Amino acid sequence: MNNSATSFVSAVALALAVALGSGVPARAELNVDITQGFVEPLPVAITDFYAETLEESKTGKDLAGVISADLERSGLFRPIDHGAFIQDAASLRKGPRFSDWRLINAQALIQGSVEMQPDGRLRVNFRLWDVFAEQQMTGLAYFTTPSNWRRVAHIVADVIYKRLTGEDGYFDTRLVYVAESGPQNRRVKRLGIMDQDGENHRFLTAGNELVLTPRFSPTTQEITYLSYISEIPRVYLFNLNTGQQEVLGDFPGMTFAPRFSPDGNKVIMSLADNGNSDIFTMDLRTRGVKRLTNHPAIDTSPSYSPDGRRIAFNSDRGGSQQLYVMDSDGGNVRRISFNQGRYATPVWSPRGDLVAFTRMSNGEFYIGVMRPDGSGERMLTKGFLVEGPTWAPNGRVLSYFRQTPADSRGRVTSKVYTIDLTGFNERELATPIDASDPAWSPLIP
Amino acid sequence: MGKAVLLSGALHVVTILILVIGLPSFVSLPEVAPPIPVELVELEQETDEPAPKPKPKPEKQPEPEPEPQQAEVRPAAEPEPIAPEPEPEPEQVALPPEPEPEPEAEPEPEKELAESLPKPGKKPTLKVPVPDQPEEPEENRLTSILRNVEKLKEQQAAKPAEEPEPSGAQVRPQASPLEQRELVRIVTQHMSRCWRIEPGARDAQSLVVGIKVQMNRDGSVRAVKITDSSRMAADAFYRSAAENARRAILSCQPFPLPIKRYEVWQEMRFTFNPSEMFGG
Repeated sequence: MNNSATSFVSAVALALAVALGSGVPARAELNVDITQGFVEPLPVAITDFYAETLEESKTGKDLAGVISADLERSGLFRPIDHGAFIQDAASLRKGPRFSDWRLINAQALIQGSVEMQPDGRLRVNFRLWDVFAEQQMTGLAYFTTPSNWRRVAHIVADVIYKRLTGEDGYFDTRLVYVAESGPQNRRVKRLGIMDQDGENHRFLTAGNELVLTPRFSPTTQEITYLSYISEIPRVYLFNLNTGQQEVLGDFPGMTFAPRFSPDGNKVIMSLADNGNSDIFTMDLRTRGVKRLTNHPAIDTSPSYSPDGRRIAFNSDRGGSQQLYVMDSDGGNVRRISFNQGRYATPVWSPRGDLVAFTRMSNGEFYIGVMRPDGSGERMLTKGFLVEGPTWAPNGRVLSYFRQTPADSRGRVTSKVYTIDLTGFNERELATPIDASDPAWSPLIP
Repeated sequence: MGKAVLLSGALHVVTILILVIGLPSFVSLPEVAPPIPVELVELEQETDEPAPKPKPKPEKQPEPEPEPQQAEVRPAAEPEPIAPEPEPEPEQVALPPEPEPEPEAEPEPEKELAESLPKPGKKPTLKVPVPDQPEEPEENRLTSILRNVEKLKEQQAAKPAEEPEPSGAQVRPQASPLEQRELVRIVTQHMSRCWRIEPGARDAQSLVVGIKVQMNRDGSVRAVKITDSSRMAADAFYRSAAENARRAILSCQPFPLPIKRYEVWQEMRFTFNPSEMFGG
């Protein structure tokens, strides 16, 4: 009785409070949880960079074109067709009319200008605007020699990418790869290099010797790779700035599967002696060699974590070829792959959060990623032969190669691809001839 | 026989080509290599209109003069990292608000509360980005934002492409719960067409962003404020996610909310939480 009376009173009080509360505008606040969105490239407007002279205008257009292509290729941005633009480049110099850009749903606006300096250098300005917040997000100017405009475009694209995604860019980078030609049984393999967008392609080696598994130093413009000079497979170093090439160490057996340490001071690799492969490091300055594994199984394909504390590698010590992680001194070895099939070439992401790998299962090849503890395994792509993953320096995009089965005349084709770590946006990276084993450079210093 | 001769001829040509093209590349290496340095200067927020002198802006600019040489000048011989981080631009935060006709409804202790806002024009300004099918028609990126080619088929069979329920949302007990739930439903449904997420960012699933919004009666947004301003300044991924959420709100206005309940929705606190989209 008493109880029900109390509850009646409190019910009235509550109702009153609710009624009053809704009537009082004061600090009423509607809490809204947004948990559903969508994944789609961000529409961005990239205007031709403004210039006074005809020649500069061409550069301005080219700059915008390269920036636009970079952003588009990342899969995260959708450059809006210029035909839709309402405000022209000249009036844009007085500042954006944001409503014009909102009308075409440009979420970000990129404007710029090009001007030749009295000293012969090119000045490139650009500004990135948040159209809806009506704020400048960044604005920078660059000075360089006019012929270097393409690189400035990549640098600008990197700044935009970073400002909009929070992630470092990867457009001012290059890829080294193995360029292949000739019939299968007498394949000529040489090193090729190109910008990340396929431009400025060159060959680095003549093709007299077989070259395999090039890997970029994460800190310098150097690569390490495997070459069969005088029929013996050995790990070599190649300095891109000097063109100098040297064999790494003088070992009794063959050395292979090299990679740099994150600080660029060491090369970690496999050394095969008397039919057994183990993992070693070589200090590039002292040339001191250190053994990390000592196991009768085949241990190979080592790859450092970006902090240099751990190493992923593959080994058949458990019966089949699987991925393992160990501390950088060789201790604390634990297996991280447990799915069906065989695993190879683990590559630790420069971002540290994932390890990419090749997996062979049921007659198919996969490029996949998993966390360094083995969780979150996902297969990004598959095929008759997909192999050799390499990370863009920001750890967001992977490159690898894809080979087709031989056709009726025994010909195979091999192409380099890129894919976003979400598993979307797979694209071919065009090369003049067949290509395999790509290696992504760090951002160009 | 003829075939063999042809093949041999072709191979010879290839070999010669390789010699011709391949060999000099060693010699011409320097061409490949040292990237030409680029100097960098930061620009303040102003127009590019030719002006006799750059207006001295009140922002604390790390570089006092937006003109040339004071930037990191790279020696031509030894290129230096150029623009890796054009400094966290602290001035962005302190930007003077743009002319905003409406005075602040209620002055908050923090003065940067209301960031300058575009007034949405009469017209329903923007075509809301409709989450129509992306390139891969066979997949729904709403239900598989991280792709696994191996699991693709099972995934599609398991998860029908229907849109998941629009989130749990709680409200302060000021209006009738039913009414509030309905308002929240309208807002979440409306926003799901505007919030673009970036699933590949590091720890994307844990980037939870809070935003306070003040609304006008016509359903347009008067002011937005990202609540965690310190994390905004310190964490580039968070800043990106937060700015993205802010863009979602701004690009989604006007909100189709009933005017007679304006007092309930005139202030809203949004929490953007993508974890559910990653499968919880």
